[in-house]
Amino acid sequence: MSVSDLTIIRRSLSSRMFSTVTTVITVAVAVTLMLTLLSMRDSGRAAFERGTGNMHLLISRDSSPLVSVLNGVFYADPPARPIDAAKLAQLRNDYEAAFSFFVPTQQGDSYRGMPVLATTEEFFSRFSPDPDFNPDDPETEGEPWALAEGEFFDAPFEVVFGATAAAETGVNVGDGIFVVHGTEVSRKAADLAEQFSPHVHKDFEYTVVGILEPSGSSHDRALFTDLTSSWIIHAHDRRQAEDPTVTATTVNDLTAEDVLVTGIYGRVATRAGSSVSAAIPAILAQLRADPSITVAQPKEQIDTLFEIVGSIDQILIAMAAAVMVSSGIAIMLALYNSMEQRRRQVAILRVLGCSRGRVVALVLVESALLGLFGALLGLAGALVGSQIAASALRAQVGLVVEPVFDPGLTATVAGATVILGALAGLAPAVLAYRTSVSRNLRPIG
Amino acid sequence: MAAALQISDLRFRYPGTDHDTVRINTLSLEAGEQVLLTGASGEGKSTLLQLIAGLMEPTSGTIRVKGENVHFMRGAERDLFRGTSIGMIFQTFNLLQGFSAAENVMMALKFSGAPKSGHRSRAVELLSTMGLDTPDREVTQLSVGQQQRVAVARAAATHPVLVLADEPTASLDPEAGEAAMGLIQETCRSIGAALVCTSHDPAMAERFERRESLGSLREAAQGQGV
Repeated sequence: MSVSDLTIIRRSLSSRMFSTVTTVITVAVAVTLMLTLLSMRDSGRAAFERGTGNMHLLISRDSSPLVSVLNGVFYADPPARPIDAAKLAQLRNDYEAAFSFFVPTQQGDSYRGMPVLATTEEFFSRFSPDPDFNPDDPETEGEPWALAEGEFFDAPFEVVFGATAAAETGVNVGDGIFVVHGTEVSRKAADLAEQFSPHVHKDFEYTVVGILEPSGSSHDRALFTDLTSSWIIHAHDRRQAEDPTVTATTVNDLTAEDVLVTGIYGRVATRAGSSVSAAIPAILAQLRADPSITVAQPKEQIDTLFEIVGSIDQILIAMAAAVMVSSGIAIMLALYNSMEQRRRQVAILRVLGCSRGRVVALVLVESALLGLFGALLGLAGALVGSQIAASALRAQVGLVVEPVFDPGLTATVAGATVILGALAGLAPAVLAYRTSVSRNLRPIG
Repeated sequence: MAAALQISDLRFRYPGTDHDTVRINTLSLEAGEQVLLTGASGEGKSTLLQLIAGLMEPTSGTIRVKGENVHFMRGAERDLFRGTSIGMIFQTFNLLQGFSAAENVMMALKFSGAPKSGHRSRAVELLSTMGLDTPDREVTQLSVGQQQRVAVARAAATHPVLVLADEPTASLDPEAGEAAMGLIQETCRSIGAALVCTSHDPAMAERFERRESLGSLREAAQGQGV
């Protein structure tokens, strides 16, 4: 058993615990900031790409393609201008044959803050949040929707919950719920008697028939029901406004003005093994020639969005890098100040036979260890910080982001922090190298 | 067999001064021999010891320890030689704070290149020999006398050929000083190390058969016109 170099370094660090802890925390904050930013940037983009899934086109009547994607796929705001039945029929007639799927959707209702997407069964059988899922290819590598519990809806007034929506509202298969018009908080059927809200579609109870597995997309926080139910409950509102004595509305009461959709998810048919089609540009051009609709290529819009925020992203990462450099300066100052107090220790080590080179190595390793401890603490901080950021994004923007740390990038940041720490130890190491033994071994006082 | 210490034509002058602080023509010490170097404050006693230890460079002359010219060695080689062959004891002990008594002794063994497996047992054994049975106590928790023993054990740990003691009793009362000097001399005898001890305490002179005055050594050098 002997006294190792690490023991010497450990005693040195623990002898000035306050300085050591504050320095490590300073480094950790910088690493947390950097890793969280990098993780959220990559995960955010992945979340956006997962949200658009395997659709090629999104048709709506929003003011621009980008707004169309944000509203129609990411539930930023319920689209204000619907596509009516006649237009839907015309689009279906003109284009459905060229499409692998043509899935109409309608938004506008919510349940406890979670958006409700009324759609058709094809939403689950043909559309998927996995961009690689080709519904026409039996050998497709992509994954379709998966149920954690229950089944997909196949009748009016059945509802399927996204994974996050189910977790946050606590519903179970078999529960009855009432949705609200707009985004006001709704409540379970059981709560309705106690606190009635005039915005609740109180005459129509939905039954929860399924809960989805997490998809890592914006759809995880949504509820899915069929279009007919949605048309019926809004037709009921219309009919009651016209005649307050109306107590029931069925599919037979629907008129053309009730049959509205806010978006159409479309995928052009592709060959097996391919996710693109040469027909897309031509179809896109034809659709864009129609001034009454807005046509978006979701992936292009996501690229546009990230180009817009890209410069902000770079500024944030540059700021995080600056914080990392300043944390390196903090290491240098901590060690430099401690070297002033440790000259006698260095002189004693030199008398005992420790070479100048070894003294320098001890200081550099100590410095690098401060960087390493900071990097490890920073990684832990980033794991927590990114979850907090993801929660904030989910709650405030509705974007479901699953923070993922790229192993290579994480290792690079951790390695850079250790190297930065070691570099920060250079000046203190020079001070140690130049310590005069004779001057520092004199009796004190 | 080479002398433990052989000094020839040694001169040392601090930069910016016009006189030699150390001026010795010859000084030789056989293995196991003990010498007391006396001199007033500022006559260069500590400087001479640091020159011998290779911690300072002489202006001219040679210093050989165990036949090796210390100042021909460079860098890490000289540091290793010092760690292996020379033990040093200081007035204020210069123990490493934050480390235990045993660790202070083990530190000397660490830099001497001795096999790691024997460090702890050697340190505990040495301390026990010197009457210190609390090897794991942090040195700042030890009495002054106990710290002195740790310093002696550290200097003797590597079985050096030469021990340099710089005013080792100056901060002790006369009785404790007597005991400390006795311990240092006895330890050096037991390991066969030569001892160069500096002191301006006349009471210490009686303990040494050989005494050298730095002033006399300087005058001798000047008399020979070297």
